[in-house]
Amino acid sequence: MSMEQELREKAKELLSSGKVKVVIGYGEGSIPIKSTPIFVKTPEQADCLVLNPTCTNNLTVYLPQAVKSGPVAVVAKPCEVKNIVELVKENQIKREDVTVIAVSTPGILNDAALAEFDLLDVKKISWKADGVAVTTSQGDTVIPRDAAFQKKCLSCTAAQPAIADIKIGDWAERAPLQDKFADVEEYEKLSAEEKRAFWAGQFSKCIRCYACRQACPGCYCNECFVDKNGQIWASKDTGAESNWFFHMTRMMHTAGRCTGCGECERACPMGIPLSLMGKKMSLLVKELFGTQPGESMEDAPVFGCYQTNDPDPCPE
Amino acid sequence: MTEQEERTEQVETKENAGWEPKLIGFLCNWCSYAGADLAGSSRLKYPPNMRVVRVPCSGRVNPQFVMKAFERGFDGVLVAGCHPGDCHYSKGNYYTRRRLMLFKEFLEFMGIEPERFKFDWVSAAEGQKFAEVVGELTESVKRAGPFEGVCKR
Amino acid sequence: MEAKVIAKQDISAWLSSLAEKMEVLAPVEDGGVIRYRPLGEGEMNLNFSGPAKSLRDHFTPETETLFRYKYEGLKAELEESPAEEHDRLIFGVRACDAAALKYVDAVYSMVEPRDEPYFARRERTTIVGLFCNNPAWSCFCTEVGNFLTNPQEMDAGLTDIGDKYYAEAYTAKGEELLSAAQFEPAGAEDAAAVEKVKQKALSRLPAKGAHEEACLSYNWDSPIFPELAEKCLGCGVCAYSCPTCHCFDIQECAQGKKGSRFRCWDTCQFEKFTLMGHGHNPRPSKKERTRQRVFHKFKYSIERYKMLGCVGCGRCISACPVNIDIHAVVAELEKPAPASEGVNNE
Ligand code: SF4
Ligand code: SF4
Ligand code: SF4
Ligand code: SF4
Ligand code: SF4
Ligand code: FES
Repeated sequence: MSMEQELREKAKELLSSGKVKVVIGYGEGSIPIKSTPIFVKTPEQADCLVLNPTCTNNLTVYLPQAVKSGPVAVVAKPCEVKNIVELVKENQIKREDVTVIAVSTPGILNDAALAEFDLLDVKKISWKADGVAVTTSQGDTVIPRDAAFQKKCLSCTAAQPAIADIKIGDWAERAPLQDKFADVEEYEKLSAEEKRAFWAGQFSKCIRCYACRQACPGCYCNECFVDKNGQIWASKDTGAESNWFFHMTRMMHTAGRCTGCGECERACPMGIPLSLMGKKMSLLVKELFGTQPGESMEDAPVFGCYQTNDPDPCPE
Repeated sequence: MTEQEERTEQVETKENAGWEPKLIGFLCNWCSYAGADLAGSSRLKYPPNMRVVRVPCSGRVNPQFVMKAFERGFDGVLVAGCHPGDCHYSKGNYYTRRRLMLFKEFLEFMGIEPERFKFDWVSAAEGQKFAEVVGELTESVKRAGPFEGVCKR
Repeated sequence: MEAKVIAKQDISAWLSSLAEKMEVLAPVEDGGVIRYRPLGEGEMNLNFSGPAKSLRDHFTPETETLFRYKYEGLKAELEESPAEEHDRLIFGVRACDAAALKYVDAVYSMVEPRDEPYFARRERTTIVGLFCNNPAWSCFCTEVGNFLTNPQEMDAGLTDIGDKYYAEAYTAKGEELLSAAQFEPAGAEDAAAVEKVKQKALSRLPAKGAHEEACLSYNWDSPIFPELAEKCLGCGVCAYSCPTCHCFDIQECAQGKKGSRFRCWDTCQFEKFTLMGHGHNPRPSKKERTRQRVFHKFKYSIERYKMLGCVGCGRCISACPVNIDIHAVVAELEKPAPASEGVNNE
């Protein structure tokens, strides 16, 4: 049975048994190069679920809202299961309200991989043993893995998820094809001045559409600090400095929650490398506090706890 | 953009000869602020570059305070609170320690020199230490030079 | 005026000579996104099938200071922002983006006084278009005005015909531009080449006709909106990438005894856009908000300005992180459906 069929079967079971009210998964997009989030509510609709290399969205972003109308099942890739772990630990959702359908895929397509194709002519995108097959009127072209997949997928080990109710796909641990932090290391070679110049360039592009925030499962606040009108921390002007303030704060708020799912960067229409910051945060959290976002249900949220022997600014 | 123009203006004024670092310090009411008082009443000599903001506990210090200070062009920032174990509210400084230890590293990642941010413990009895901490920060900020803003253009 | 041609290698010489007289902006690639920047600020890229950013920020900047103030005691000083005073030319504008200006003109002149900062920029800007040879998957200009064959608001328009551009002027300003030394009269084979290129481009676009009629009977209670609302993230990508979106907010930035008031972009997709001071929100959920964007473009604009508010550039479609496709939404709304009495005023 293909992963897709298996998923449909499981979704049908969950819905017909009444265990969940809705299954959040992927459906066909408006064109074969895209898929789109769908909310499946009846067993019949489960046949609309798809699973292919275009299934990129992090669907866990919908959970805090969705659980309000009853128990939910959600399709989540390994990095996204970690977002669920954090949402549960931070009391945004209850574990018993979510059925986690953990799917380990070979990898998700990065949009740039299609640059050479006439997108109007792409009929289908599917997984092949060594990469992704793009079907056009000319037949199939296979894009090799390292060109086809998103960076986060190339560095994924598909490690066992901390929580999962249903597991689909190949969960054998695999060797990452790329070093996850290569870009962080490269960036850190810059001098302080160069770093600030780099971000000045990046943040001057930001148009404050807040897609990064809206797409992020860690940004679940009812009212974001930047939307407050009475107490203005980050001015709404789009000068690089105000944008810096917005992003710095967002990074501090998602520290310890950011699982490196990459949705913020993917959603950003201005191509700002937001995950560079997120990745550094996760390295720092590991180095200073020894935890990793979403890897265990036991660790307390990183800023919601302390140890008396935490790293100290002036150790005796 | 006024914000922008003002920042440029600040940087330009700094580049004039005789620049003296402008520092801001967030001091816990129960210890570091009293420590600063003691330093003053004991007539200890330390650089006069710091404006002090008194906070009820170092736990009150939101990293945004520090960001705002840098965004508005301060050359250096100090956060000081009671020693671990001595917080008036028993654990405020433990929480802030986690936040600020991470934040300090992150600032560096974003290109803000570690010389510009100091985070330390000063008790009410440590007038001497307070003077030293301010002296050290002033010196290290002087070495780093005038701050050109959170984003370099 | 007769059509001209210009060799591709002469484009940069021509633009540089123009740059002596005015600011010249062109699409440049910058960190993976294409946007209009002053010439020289990056590599010019003319092979795009849709720049990430429209021209919007060049006419209504994301942040636009309206005035600054200072006060001391009871004495206050106010300083208005000066009107735009330099001429500029924007090169390589897509036909849809140029057409969008016509719509935005209508918006900003609907009530007196018209929006002076906008028109000051508008009147000092010359638009040189570049027609699309290779429309993107998300484009549908053929359904909303056919701008490839019916250009709007361009002073001149170029078409890539291989090693040269075929150029036509549509205004006196445009004619003057094309009288530069780098241009020569087009021959019959150039005209034939253009025809071929146009046909090929059109074959990539939907063949369906105009929407105007159908729009007026869109169903206010269509089940599609609750569906969109479920997956819409409520970000501003669609509106902020749209060349006809124009909503703004007015904010203030105060620092001690001085400050400024500025306007900045805002969008109906944000929850707070319609939130009233006393707590009521007439568009309380994403259902109302997604409907607003679609209805504003396709329905209210016809009622108000007698033209569609969408130029079919497809940006909101390709940029939406959850693949909400306004073209598909509109098609759904126009499907013959059991008639239902809709209330349709906001
Ligand atoms: S900050 Fe970005 S990478 Fe991190 S969890 Fe949020 S969306 Fe994912
Ligand atoms: S998605 Fe990109 S452009 Fe939009 S607010 Fe975030 S960083 Fe800025
Ligand atoms: S339609 Fe798409 S781009 Fe627009 S607000 Fe919703 S998620 Fe964002
Ligand atoms: S609504 Fe979408 S397709 Fe229409 S003009 Fe705006 S961005 Fe382009
Ligand atoms: S669609 Fe929304 S943001 Fe765009 S112009 Fe209309 S009301 Fe404004
Ligand atoms: S009271 Fe001084 S740090 Fe908490």
